Amino acid sequence: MEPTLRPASLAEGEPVRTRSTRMARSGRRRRPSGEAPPLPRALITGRYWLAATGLVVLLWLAALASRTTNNYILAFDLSLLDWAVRLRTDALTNVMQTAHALGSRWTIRVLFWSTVLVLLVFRRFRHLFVFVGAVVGVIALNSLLAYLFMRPRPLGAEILGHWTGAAHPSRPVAVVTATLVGMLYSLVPLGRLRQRGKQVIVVLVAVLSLSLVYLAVHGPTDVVFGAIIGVTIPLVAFRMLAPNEVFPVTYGHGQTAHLDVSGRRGQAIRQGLEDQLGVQVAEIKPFGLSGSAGSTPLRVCVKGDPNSYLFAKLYARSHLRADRWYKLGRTLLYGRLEDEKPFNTVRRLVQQEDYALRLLYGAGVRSPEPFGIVEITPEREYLITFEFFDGAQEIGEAEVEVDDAIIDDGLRIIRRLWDAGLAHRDIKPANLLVRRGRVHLIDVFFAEVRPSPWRQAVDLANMMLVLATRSSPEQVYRRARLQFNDDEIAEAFAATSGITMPSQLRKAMREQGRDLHAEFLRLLPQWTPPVSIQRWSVRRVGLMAGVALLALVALLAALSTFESAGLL
Amino acid sequence: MRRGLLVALACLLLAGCAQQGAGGGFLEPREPACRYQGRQGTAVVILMAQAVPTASQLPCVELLPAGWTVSDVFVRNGRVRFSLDSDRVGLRAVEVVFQQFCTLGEATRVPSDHPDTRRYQEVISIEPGRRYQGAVHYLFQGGCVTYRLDFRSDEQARPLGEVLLALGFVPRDTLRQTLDDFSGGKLPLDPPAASS
Repeated sequence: MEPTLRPASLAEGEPVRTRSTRMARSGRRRRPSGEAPPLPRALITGRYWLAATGLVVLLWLAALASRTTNNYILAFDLSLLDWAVRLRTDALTNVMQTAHALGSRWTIRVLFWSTVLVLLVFRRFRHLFVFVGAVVGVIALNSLLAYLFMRPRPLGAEILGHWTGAAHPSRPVAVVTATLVGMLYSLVPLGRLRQRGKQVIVVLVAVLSLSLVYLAVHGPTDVVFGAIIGVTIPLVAFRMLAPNEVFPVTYGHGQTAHLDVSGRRGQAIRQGLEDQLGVQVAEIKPFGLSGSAGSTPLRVCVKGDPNSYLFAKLYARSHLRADRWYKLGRTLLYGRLEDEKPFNTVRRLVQQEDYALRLLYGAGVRSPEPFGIVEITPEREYLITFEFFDGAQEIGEAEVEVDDAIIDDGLRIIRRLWDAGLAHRDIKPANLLVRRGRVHLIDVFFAEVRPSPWRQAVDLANMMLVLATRSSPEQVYRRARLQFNDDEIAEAFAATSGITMPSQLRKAMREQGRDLHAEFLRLLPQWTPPVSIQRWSVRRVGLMAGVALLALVALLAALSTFESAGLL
Repeated sequence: MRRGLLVALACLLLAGCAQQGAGGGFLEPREPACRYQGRQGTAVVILMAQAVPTASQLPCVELLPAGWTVSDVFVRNGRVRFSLDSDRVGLRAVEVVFQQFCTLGEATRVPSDHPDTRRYQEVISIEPGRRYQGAVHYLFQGGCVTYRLDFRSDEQARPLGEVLLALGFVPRDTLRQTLDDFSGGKLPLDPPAASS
């Protein structure tokens, strides 16, 4: 087929606009001002601990502001302590001194560093940063408060244990509690095991607290306030920075980048789809998780006659951050190859995908029809919906026969993208679906308007490589020459090299034990010098130096913090 | 609504912290000062007393000459340490260590400038025009205080005079009395057996 300037109406296959006509849309509803979004952002379990912390702050303020209150608290501590001291026996003292070791620096070091190690091994970096930040934060806050209060150790009682510094709040209790709570929320999956873990922590902290009071190392209010700090800070930190719904603790299966779509979020998605898009949802299921790392893909079954499907992708702030890190990494590794500006908000991220979908669909590329955006939590979570290619198979699957027609169809997609001034930028087997003998292009998030010629050439090379994994380079090259000239094909293979090929494509070629790139090069009548993908600029050098410096400073600061916090 | 509450809480916190200097804390200030608002002893000195419960005297800072500051206060059971920094003779020019026992080495006994104490002094090294290192030990019932001197200047041992004037002692009995007065008799410094 000859290249065209305007998109054809795709008369050869089934019409693209098929699904929306069958999708029953009714009962759309505008959310009135003041009404909560489908999934309001709120702390649930941390609320009580925040309230307890608020109470503690008030008591502290009273103690700071009034000498009488402070003396009253100390006297209250002393009266309780007197009672504990009267219980002292040699045997019980031995037991309590053993229990006191629970709060020793070595216990904390072992717990802390073993948790860090486990989180590193499982590459759970978000949990790692939150854990380290929470524990160091508790130590820092504890030190600050101890300095502010400068409260003595229990007065009038013989102190039988080791201690360092001022008494209030209890540092061993605060740090052990924070470490244990941090371990629980970063290592133990949600469920019965975590509930048991909470009980274990309560017992351990209670034993440590009792021993500290019995040995007169701390007064009762010291250990209580220490425990409140030790629970509240990690709990709130994990709830806010690594919530289980977004970053569940799992072992052995599942990708942590994917959001949990059951429970409240599932209900919110259902409500959002019904209110904002006017579809009646029968079922929502995660779909094709393994092929997506940048969002949570879902298949939505919509009620109708008969029921039909929508494809949906859930985007959250975690995906926004992942996108930022990905782009920073690319800039550092290869320089600014093309427009790699990160997105500022989740809304913009999802708008980009919606725009790309509409652009490609309008350009006549056989890509999914966009169906709309659903707001789940304003500025934090959005769902983008589009046509689901029911019955389609990935081009890499064994059942798909890649013949001349399929090859032509795939290459025609590239030609159409070129003509429309677009690049897909992620041509790989998972993004090429075959249904009823036609190739469909999906996952258009990375699509770019007026890309560099280099990027367009890479799209062509990647398409030819994908097609060749299921046929032969000779066949693909022969068919490609019907739509592209030799110069264009030569440019494509000069532009593409290892890292410009999506990892799935590289893996497919590796599994076949073939160097398809070299095979294509041998077919070319003439070679074009390889296009360098490294782009050097003052900005890139500065950025690399800045990142290296920042990493060094962060490392030194972390080591210094760990040392002063007694963790080294 | 929530933001308003948070702002109110932050204001309260700031107001509370701003008031701390007005004496709400436990025997301000937070340095081992010998006197504060007419009383002998501060919260840090009480902690020191708890760290070395046998000591009859407790080291403290009388009056710092211009250019000297207290730093690195560390108190744990059995050992107390703090430093004096100087803008002339260097950081940690004096390290004060307070324990129940100390090793005197080759120190020579000299007349003590504080009652109920014995003073020993030694010169460790002298780098003419550059550095002076030495030590002063005070022994008293149940405790020992060492001033480790490290003057990095051409003044040699001359700053020692300032140091000896800057540092002093609070008798334990006086501190006990201060605490008694402060708390209206509710807070004893030592356990009953020790104080008797």
